[in-house]
Amino acid sequence: MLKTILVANRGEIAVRVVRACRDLGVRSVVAYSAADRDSLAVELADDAVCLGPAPAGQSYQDISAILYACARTGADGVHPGYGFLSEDPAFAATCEEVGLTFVGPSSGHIGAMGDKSLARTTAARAGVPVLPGSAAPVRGLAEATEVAARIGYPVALKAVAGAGGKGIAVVGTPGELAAAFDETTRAAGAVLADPRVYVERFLPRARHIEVQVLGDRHGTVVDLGERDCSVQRRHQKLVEECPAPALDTALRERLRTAAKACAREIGYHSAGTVEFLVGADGSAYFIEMNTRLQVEHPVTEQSTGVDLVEWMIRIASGEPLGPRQEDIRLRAHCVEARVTAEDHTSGWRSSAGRVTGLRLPAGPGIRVDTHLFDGYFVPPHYDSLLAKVIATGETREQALRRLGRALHEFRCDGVRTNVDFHRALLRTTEFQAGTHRLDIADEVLAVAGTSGEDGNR
Amino acid sequence: MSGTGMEPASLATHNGRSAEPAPGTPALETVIDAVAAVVRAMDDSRATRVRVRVGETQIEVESAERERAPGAPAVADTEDGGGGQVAISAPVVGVFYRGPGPGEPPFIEIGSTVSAGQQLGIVEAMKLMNPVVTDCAGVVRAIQAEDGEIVEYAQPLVLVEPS
Repeated sequence: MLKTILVANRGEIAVRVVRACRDLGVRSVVAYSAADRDSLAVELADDAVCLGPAPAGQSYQDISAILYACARTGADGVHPGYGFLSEDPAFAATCEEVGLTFVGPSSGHIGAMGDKSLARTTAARAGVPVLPGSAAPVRGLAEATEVAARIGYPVALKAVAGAGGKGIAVVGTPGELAAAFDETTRAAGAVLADPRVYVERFLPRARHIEVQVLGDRHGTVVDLGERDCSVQRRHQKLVEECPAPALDTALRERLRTAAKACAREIGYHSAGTVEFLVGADGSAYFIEMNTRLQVEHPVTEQSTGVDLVEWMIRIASGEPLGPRQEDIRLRAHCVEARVTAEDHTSGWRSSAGRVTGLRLPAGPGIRVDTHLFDGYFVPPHYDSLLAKVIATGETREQALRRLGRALHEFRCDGVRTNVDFHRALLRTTEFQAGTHRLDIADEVLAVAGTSGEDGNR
Repeated sequence: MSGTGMEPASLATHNGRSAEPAPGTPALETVIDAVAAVVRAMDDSRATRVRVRVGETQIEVESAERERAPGAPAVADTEDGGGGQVAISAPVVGVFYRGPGPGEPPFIEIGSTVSAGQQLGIVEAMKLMNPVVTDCAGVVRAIQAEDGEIVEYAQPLVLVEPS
């Protein structure tokens, strides 16, 4: 078992990893930026090291600073959380070179799946259906035009290095392609440092279904069921649930089998997520594999009873997987709402400020993963996620009722939040029935986007 | 103060005791002007954080979005080291060295008199030597890190008593 894990992240996920370390008797060190000096993760950890000033490039994404922080604190492992360096193959490779255990997959796994175009090829090799599109990154507008004409509009232009919903553009007609191609390649180069894009058929009104996998370093791979993440805005998830509602049993099994095939194809170890688009006709296609812990991992934990963060640490320590496939059952229904410091009535403008009058929900079936406390200052430098409100029930109906109760209780004055969006979502017939698609967030905003309830500023 | 090239501003405070400024202290407008001047000065300097201090009162301004120009010498944060002393802190995470090279004498000793802009040490990060520089003239009263010790960002390294 690893002795000391340095948590190279912040916010709620840093708190989550610190807690897992304490559960396992592993010493935790939080590496933080100057903006997070007074954070909950720093307070709860056994030790803490300041990496640098607030900008992530000089702190959370500074590989050298993290390595020195490990040396200073005697860490033998690093947990990257999600975002920042979690899917940076160079960081994982550096850890491997200097003898630090990266609590995640190998640098080879990250590289193989981080290139989204290469990942499509890998999935196809594993016998998993991929959307029609370019077999490799397109070499220019002419090739993009040719591919789009061949597979038919609408198409999606996707950055090869895309992550977290960044670098995706949907093109409805041939006349829009040139401008979208220029914009996507330019943005991909600027934001993701890789201007290459590929073309894929766009599935309108599809569902986003993903499968959680765990692999150990001894060749065992299991899946922990699927999650529905179809409530999204700008390709970023807002609500996730496990299991996926209104999903045909045969399709569910196909997705779970396909996810394990992808993981086995590259000999994957650690936690990973294989994402699919499911069309209205039940057709399912591989989109990408995320080689890290997901924000929405708690819904799988609550449904299966398997502690994913604990198993990431155990696997990194060399332990064989404990849970066997036949042991894993989705025993409960679980829904997670991401509460963000954003004003959904003003184009999701983010909101920094000092939290006052915090009231976190509780009661039967409610888990809240958060780094918030009364008086906490939400810094403007990072992701806007404030809390994950996770409701569990014996049935979906009970889970949704409990989520409604929790959102009613949730109070966070001092910053704007999107809690009203979630309340409005819960009132929609489509979401209640579980028949919603990827356009549900826009529909909610169209109906309730300008409404707001008091007590949530 | 750090890297602003300004004279310390005089600031008024009531320290929770009185809303009236003490006799001889500047009005609120003067305080605001002084802070505004500090912020403007930061734009022309490499400092990312400035703390203006008078007696028991201090105002801290931190520049959150600034990137240090590659290769530019890092200017250490200065903080109150207690007892009127100023702490010169590590500009980056790395290894602290007291001298310019192996076997060479250290830049300073306790009791050394230093001038603004003088180098007090080095923090090495991945073969990049980041000078630790004071912009406060005075006498070195303490050296708080060992030669070869890995230090964290903003860790106080040297205490200087301003002259």
